[in-house]
Order: sequence, then C-alpha cells, then structure tokens
Amino acid sequence: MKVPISWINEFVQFSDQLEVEAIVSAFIQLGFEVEEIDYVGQGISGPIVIGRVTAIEELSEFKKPIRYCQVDVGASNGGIRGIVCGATNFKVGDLVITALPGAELPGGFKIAQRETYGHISDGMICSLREIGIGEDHSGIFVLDGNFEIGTDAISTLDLLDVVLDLAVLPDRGYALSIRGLARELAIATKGTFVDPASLHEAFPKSKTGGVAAAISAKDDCQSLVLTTLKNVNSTAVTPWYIQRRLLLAGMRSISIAVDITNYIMLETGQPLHAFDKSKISGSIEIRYSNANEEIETLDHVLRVLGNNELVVADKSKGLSLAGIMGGASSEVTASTSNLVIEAAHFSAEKTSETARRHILSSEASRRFERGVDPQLPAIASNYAVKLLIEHAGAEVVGRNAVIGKEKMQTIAFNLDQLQVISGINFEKENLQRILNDLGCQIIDYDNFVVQIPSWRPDLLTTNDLAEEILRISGYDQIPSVLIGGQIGKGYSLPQRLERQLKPLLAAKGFVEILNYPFVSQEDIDLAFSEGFYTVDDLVKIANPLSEKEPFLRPSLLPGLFAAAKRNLGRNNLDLAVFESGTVFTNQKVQSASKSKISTPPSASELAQLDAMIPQQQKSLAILMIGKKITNPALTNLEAWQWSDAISTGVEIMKLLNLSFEVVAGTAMPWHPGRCAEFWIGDQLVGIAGELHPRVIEGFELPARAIAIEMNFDYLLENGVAVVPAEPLLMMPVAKEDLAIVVTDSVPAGAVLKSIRAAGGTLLEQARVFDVYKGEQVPVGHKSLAISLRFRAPDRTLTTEEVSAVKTDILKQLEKEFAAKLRI
Amino acid sequence: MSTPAGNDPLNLADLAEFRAKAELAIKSTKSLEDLKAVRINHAGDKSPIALANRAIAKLPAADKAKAGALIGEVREFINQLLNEQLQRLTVARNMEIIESERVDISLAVDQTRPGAIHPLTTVMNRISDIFIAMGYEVADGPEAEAEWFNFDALNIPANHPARSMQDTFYVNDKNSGVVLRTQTSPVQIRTLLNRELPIYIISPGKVFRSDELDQTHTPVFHQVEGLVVDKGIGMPHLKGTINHFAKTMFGEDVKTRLRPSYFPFTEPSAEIDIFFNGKWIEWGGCGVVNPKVLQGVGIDTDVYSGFAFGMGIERTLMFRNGVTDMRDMVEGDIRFSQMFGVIS
Repeated sequence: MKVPISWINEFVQFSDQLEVEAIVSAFIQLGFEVEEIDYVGQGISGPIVIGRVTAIEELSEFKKPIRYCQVDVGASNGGIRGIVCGATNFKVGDLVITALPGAELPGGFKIAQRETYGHISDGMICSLREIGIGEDHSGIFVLDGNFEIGTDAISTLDLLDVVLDLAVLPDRGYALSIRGLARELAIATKGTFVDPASLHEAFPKSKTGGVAAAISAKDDCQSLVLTTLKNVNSTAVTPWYIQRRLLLAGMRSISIAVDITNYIMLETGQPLHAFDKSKISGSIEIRYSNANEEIETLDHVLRVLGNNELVVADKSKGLSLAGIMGGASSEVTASTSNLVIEAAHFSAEKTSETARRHILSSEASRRFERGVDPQLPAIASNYAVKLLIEHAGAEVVGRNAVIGKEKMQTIAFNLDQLQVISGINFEKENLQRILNDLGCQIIDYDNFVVQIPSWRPDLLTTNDLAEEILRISGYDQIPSVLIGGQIGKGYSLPQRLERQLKPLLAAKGFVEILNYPFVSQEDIDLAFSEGFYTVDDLVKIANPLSEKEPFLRPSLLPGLFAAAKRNLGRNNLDLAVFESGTVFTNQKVQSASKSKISTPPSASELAQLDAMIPQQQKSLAILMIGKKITNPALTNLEAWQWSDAISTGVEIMKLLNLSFEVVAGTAMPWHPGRCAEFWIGDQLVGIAGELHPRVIEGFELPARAIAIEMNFDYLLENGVAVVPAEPLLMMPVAKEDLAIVVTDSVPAGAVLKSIRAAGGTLLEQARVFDVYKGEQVPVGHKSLAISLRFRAPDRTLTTEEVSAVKTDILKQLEKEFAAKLRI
Repeated sequence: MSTPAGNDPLNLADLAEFRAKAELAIKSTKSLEDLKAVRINHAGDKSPIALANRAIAKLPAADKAKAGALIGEVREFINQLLNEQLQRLTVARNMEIIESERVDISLAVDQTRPGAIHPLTTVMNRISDIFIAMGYEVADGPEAEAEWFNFDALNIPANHPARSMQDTFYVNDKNSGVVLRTQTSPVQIRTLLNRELPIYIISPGKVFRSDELDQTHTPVFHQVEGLVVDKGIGMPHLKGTINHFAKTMFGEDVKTRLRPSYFPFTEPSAEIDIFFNGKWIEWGGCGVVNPKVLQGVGIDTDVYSGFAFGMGIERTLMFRNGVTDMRDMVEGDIRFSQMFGVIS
C-alpha cells in the first residue's frame, strides 16, 4: 500500500518530528516491509507559482499544435508572461502551475527563458508528472478552486512529500488504511494517535427514506448502509488535497463521487460504492446469486455467476459483485445527479471465494478478504455524505441501514503460554499498555481476559496476542537459547548410502544435474516404444507451465536426453551426467472425497489420502555420450561403449555390497542387442547398455550413447546395513587356465555362473580373459579362455585336488552347454 | 712375465703385475656388464690371483703365512676397487635410466574437468550435517502430495491465495485433491503423525510453484524446513537455533534478525534476515508452530509446543556463492556443477 507520510502524520502527533528513516525502521520492526521510498518532488525549487491563462494564440505552422499563451503570474513575479506550450487541454481563464525561469523541476530539469517556435518562452506550464505527482502527462494540469495568482505552488499545493510503499501481510486487513497504519506508527514511536473514524459521527440506525436496504445473505453480509442523495454535481472537480493524496497513493482521479469513495476507503479502510440511482429500480438487497446469473462489471467483462455468490441487487437484477467490483449498468457518469452510496460489511471467506473464482482482485476485495472493521460502514458513509455535500453540492434524500449485531471477540490470554512463546517475563502493566495501544481492553484482570477491537478479526488466540506483544516490544528483545543434545539416530540407511555413493559417481567423472520433472508425450513415445506408457500409466498436471509438457516423468532418461542436447548445443560434446530424482507412474489419483478429514485424522482416512497420490520412486540414471574424459596428449580419446554402462551398474551394485545377477534384456530405450538387466532375486532393479539407434536419432544424441537407470529406492532400502566379514585366506593359490568351445548364443556370464557352482568352495575366482572366433573353432561357435584360481583355507592344494575340481567343472560345462575343451 | 704366471705365490713381481693389470682393467670399465667380465678375469676362480692363492697349499709350511699375507693384500685391493667401481657404475647407470625416462609432467595437467555433485545437493547435505550434529533427523515425503497434507493440515484455508491456480500445480484436475507440494511442510505433518514426540527433524527437498523460469524464479526449487516439537518450546529456541545455523553456514560474523511476518502454520511468525556481505538479505521464514496445526494431528498443546523454519536452497546458493542466474542451476549445463566439484 502506497502511503504519503503527510497523510499518516495527520493522525499521529509526535513529541518530536520524526525523520523518514525512523518511520521506515519503525514499520519494518512492526512487520511491514518497505518496498519503496518515494521522495515526491525531490529536487523541486521555485519560482513555481500559480498563474492564470489570459490569452492563447494557436500556432498552426508546425507539425503539432503549439500554443503561445499569456499567463498572469502575479505582479510580484513580473505580471503577464508569454509562454509556449505544446498542450491544448486548457482555455483562457484556467489556473495553471507555472514554472518560471530559475525554477528546477524534479529530476534536475532547469527552467530558463528560451526562444522556441518563433517566440520567447518565459517559463513553462506544468503537467502533473512534471511536478512529480503521479504519472499523468496527457496534458498540462488545470487547477480548480480558490487560489491566488502568483502564490508559491510548492507550498500551496504540497508538492513535497514522502510516499512509502508498504507490504501489508495477509492477516492484517486493518493496515490497508491510513487509520490502521497511523495507529501502528503511533504505538511504535510513542506518538499520540487520533482515530480518523472517531472524527465522524456514526450513522443513525433509523430509516429516513430513499432507497431501501435489505440483507437476505445474512451469513456473509453483516451490515448495509445506503444513503440516497440528489442534486449531485457529478462534474464538480475533486478538491486538490483529495486528488493529490489519491495520486500519491497510486490512484487516478476519476470523478468527484468515485474519488471521494476511494479517498475514504484509503483513509478508513472501508470500501464504498456509488450507484447512479436513476439506473436502479426499487430497493437494494444483498443476496446470493442464482446459477448463471450475469453481471457486466465495471471492467466491461460479462461475469457469469455460479450459485451462491454474493451480489448487490435491485428489484430486477444484480447490480454488482458485492465487495469486489461494481456493475456497468449502474455506473456513475458525468450526468448522474442522484446517487446511492453503499457501505457494507461482507465476509472475508465469501469475498475471497468469489474473487478467486473470477480471478478478479480489486482494492475493495483485497480489503474485505483480509477483514474490514464491521463498525465502519455507518461511519464511513456519513463521512462520504459530508464530503459530497461539501464538494458536489449533494443533498440528502434519506438513509436506510441494516446494522447487524456485533460479536465481541474475547481471548483468555494465557500468560504462562506467553512466557513459553516469548521467553520474556512481561509485567502485567506493560502488557496492558501494549494491549490498550492496540485497541484491546482487559475486561477481567484475574484471568486476563482481553476484548479484541472490532478492526482486529485476526486476533483469536493466545499465540495471536503473543505475536502482537512481541511485535510491539520488538523481536530483538527475544532471548536466544540454543537447544541441542537431542538423541538423534543420524542418517537413515538409504540417506547414508546415497550420501556415500554420489561422490563415487563424481569421482568416475559423472556430473550431477537436476532436471525439471515435466515431460511431453512426444518425448515419452520417442524414448519408449509407443504405447509403452499409456495416459493411464502417466501422471498429468492439470495446469502445466507448458501445454507441451503436461506429464510427470516416468523415467529420468528423457530429461537427461534433453539436458544432453542443451549441452551439445553449447559445445559440451563429451559428457557423462547423472541424476537422482523422483519418477512418477501408475496414476491412482481419483477425485478426493469431499468428506472432511477428522481432527486428528483416523488411520483409514490417512490410508485413503495415501491411496490418492501417484506412485513415486527415487530413480538413479546416468547418460554417457561422446568420448570418455581422458587426456588426448597422453592417451587416445576412447569413446564410451555399451560395456561401460553395464560395468558402471556392476560397480554401483558392488559399492553398495548387493548380490545381483545380470541378464540380457530388451527394454526401451536401449539397443535390444546391447542391453543388460540387473536383478536382485526376482526384482528387476536396473537396466544398462547402449541406447536404441532410434532413440539416439530422435533425441539427436551422438551415436553409441549409453545409459543406465536404476530403482534407487530399492537399492538404498535394501542396502546392507552391516557387512559380515570373512577371514582372508593366506594359503598359496593354484592357478589354472581353461579354454572351452561353446555355441555363440551361450553367454559368458552363464558359463561363469556354472563354473562357480561346480567349482565349490575351493574355486576362488573365475574370469574370462579371451574370446576367440576363427580358425580351429567351428562356425557358430566361440572359444572362451577362462582363468581359474583355487585356494583352500587350511592347506596347500595338491595337483590332484585341483584337477579333480577342474574335471567336475568341465563335466558340468559339457552337460549344461555341450562345451568342449579346446585342445 | 714368468711362466707359469701366477703360480708362485711368493713372486712379488708377479703379484705386483696382477695388481697393476687388475687396477687398470677395473678402472677402464664403462658399464656394469664390462665390470662383470673384469671381475671374472681378475677376481674369479680362474684369475691369476686365485691360482696363486691355490698354490699356497704346495708351499713349505714356513712360507705359507707370508704368502697368504701377500696374496690377501692384493685380493683385498682388487675387491675394494671392484666394489668402488660397481658403486660408481651403478649410480651412473641409474642416472642414465632416469634421464632417459624424463617426461613432460605438464602434459598430465589436463584441462578436462572431473565429475561433480550439483551444488544444490551439497548445500542440502551441508545443512543436513549441521542439524544431524545437533541431534535432528532428516525426514522426507512424496513430491506429489495430497492437498490435505500440503494445505489443510497446515491451516491454509480453502480460499488462501496460495491455493489458487496461479501458484499450485494440480495433479490430474483442480479438484483431484492432489498437488505437487508447494513447500516441504507436508513432510512436517507426516512426521507429526508418524513419529513419537519429541520431534527434531529437518526436511530438505524439491518443491513446485507455477512460476515461469527467469533469472530469479524457477517453478521447481528446493527448500529445507526444520521442525521441533517438545515441551516448553518457544521463540527463544527458534532464535538460538537460527543463529547457530546461520553462523555454521555463513561464518561467525554473520548477523541474524527476525522480523514480524505471517504464515498460516506459525504464530507468532517471522522473516529471517541475515546480514551477509554488507547487506541484509531475506533468508527464510519461521515461527512458533500454530497450535491449530498441532491440535489438528492430535498433539496436546497444553504440554507440547514447537517451532518451524524454512529457507530456499537456490536462494541460499545465490547469495552465499554468488550465483547470479537461477537458470544456470536448472538447465543441466555440466559446466555449472563442475565449478563446484563435490563441495559448495
């Protein structure tokens, strides 16, 4: 909210005049962020005076209309001066703000006598923007009112001020007014506060005629005050002091009636609305809307209402969206002479609901949503009538009001709880002073029962009052106490394992990146076989940032592909990237049941909530493209190949001490002949290999890119918490080599698995060290050279023992794979 | 030269000749291989001196001692020369090998950057470590979350602006009751429901708000929140914890300031400002847990109270490490993570 300090100062008396810095720091302490400090008129200096236009000569020989004017700036300023002006929105006799040679305008613009358009221009006639108030530069500013020619405009028109733009928190509706902010400032600076609401008599409750008032929507409208006026001069010019304050607060001057309602809203916090009475039929009622009822609001949007919205209506139609925006059908115009001023109290909940439904926020709705003082309608409407009589010649026809009974909110202030919350032992007198300053009254000293003022509907509990007490005393008074020494169990096993694994991935040259989880159907279809993920398998966002990417990723790989593409575009050509993050599948989301969750929620309600959310799993994926990162000066740059993906998967499993098996797989997005599946028992936990050529082409990746994706949750949750140790065997090792011939289709892994089973406890290690095809090996066959290491825990193995095991192994291989010993 | 040379162990001239020849031969060697041959010729089994030594046996007993002393002296002399030459040649040979193996070590100082962990991860790790050391535990929860956990249970009423379509991603449709969590606070509710009191946890994680990506906003970002619920907890404990956290994170000189604020789930509420690099920076929000939130999950607020705090990790990284553009954190350009290595 933009607040001219001069306006606040009208209602706060300080013992000493406060510096702007002191006011700013007081507001910050109170919880109002100062977003901007605008020194209005900074740099302005005279002579700037009020002048009267006495003659206008139109100069038509230029590209745009130019006027050569005679302006009377008073005898003491040299009488009548000739001034060239580019604006045309004034006439002879108008009062204008005239900057004379020697003057300086805000922004360092110096005025001097100069020759222009064939005349000597002896000063300048100013627009509002030129004197630093508001942004209006559509023409020069024409003054209205009783001003003496030649008087100093800077002091007469109050051209110097400081405007603070304060951020008002959503629970502080009262602070969206000069009234609320002045009270706060007075408390913080120990000034004396004069309540602007106390300066105007409350409206009498009696009905005295004019348009009748009724409330049928009693739950959402507490009070309605209507004043009917006649003979209103709608073209009367708004007095300068009102215009100036509206402009400084960031509002335009529109018409006398609208300006006055806005002015009172800013000062008191009570939104008001003016209707053209001639456009209303019969009485005014606050009622709920009917479904599909239509109202064209002042912004000329036709609003189709739902059932149960709050409207201000006459006998035949809805006139306005109550508390949000007036309607076009009853808008006040220049020809309006009969007015109805509405001052009402609408509920925060209903205003907020309707404003959100129509995505329509206004000055009025912002206030009602945050809570307006329910005592204000009667006061503010009287204030408005007073100003309309004074400045627009209005006459009161009659007044009608429905004033609801006010509920007095009280809080039994729990002082023990205050002590716990604040850590401060407040004296009761001190508390009472702060509470009184805030407008609270203590109605029971023994139990410290506090009555809350009408403008603070946000205060409901001891905690709310505690915040007020601390806010006024200063948060810096709160002591600092460090608690610790709680008995924590440290990181959980999955957290520990993830923490330990990631640096090892980095040590392998992999770079962690964090992608958005949003993905397009197109990319999913490209990465996986079309139809692999149906819409039912995927989780969709109702309001995605990009309509192209409405899905949550079922896999990390499409995100890594896209990131790789971005890197390639920036000439990062060789890279290995990894990500650990959530993947979303198996959408179970059903519309929530509308039944309210109990307090506290029951086990079945919690189960129901958990059943609603999609299946989510932490995944780990790695993508390697281009060359391995090695040094071209020392070694050949070697490209990543299919086996690197698989061996990386194996390393991860081994680092986590997991027992696993690897078998050939065919899943997308991998190359069906170069894809390995990692299994733990009957759980598929990961897939690794070279990417499918179609995927590589589709995502514009370099050929032979490789990737891994693993079910990280499963790996981490099934990690070994305590690794059982085995003694190291110290007896000599017996080494044997074996060369066997098998058909091409027999995987080396299967042969090794079989060797390990047949080798028993004496076989320590079996590795393939060569694969040979060619001479001496039949077509369709391959020769596997395998090294074997045997060792016993307690003795040196004899040659006989070793060859016995080797024979067992060969027999097993022959039986299982028809393997032949290669001679 | 006498014949047969070297057979007379008492022939002083012969011995002197053996000695002189051996000395010349040894000193002339240029390599260990040469020396090996010279050793065989002049000190080996068939060398003149060995033969002379063997002839001692045939001498009269009275001459044996004298001959033994004479030959022993020559043998001693030759062996010493051999050892000295061996050392000299070994050093020379090693020098030569080393010289031949000399490399340009600067070639190994490759410019290629190694792997890295994303700095957002390492900042979250660092924060987790600080709180683990204080006896907290790290809690987590789902990213696609029931609206009840994300809003209702946190005292965010149905028409609160944060619930409107502008800020929240809804899953499936606007009435599904499932959202992408807008804060990590739903983890607090799950923790309050699942864990025994007292509770000391932090919850780092990913959160979502439907803002367009620009230099200072990202629709997907990370937060860390802390929650303590115990007997007699209030603002002083919150302040002490924040002070300790800030000092550990930013150095002993950092100053902190709490400023009144508003959050539906805390009352009183505060903004956390820190004075860092010469200016006040808004770091996060905090407050005493609103008793309504605790009551909502069945905690007796006459006995227990708590505090909570939360801050953005991207923001922390921006001002702590001087990252100027949030897009660098999310676009996956490897050069960004690589700047940091495995620390931040």
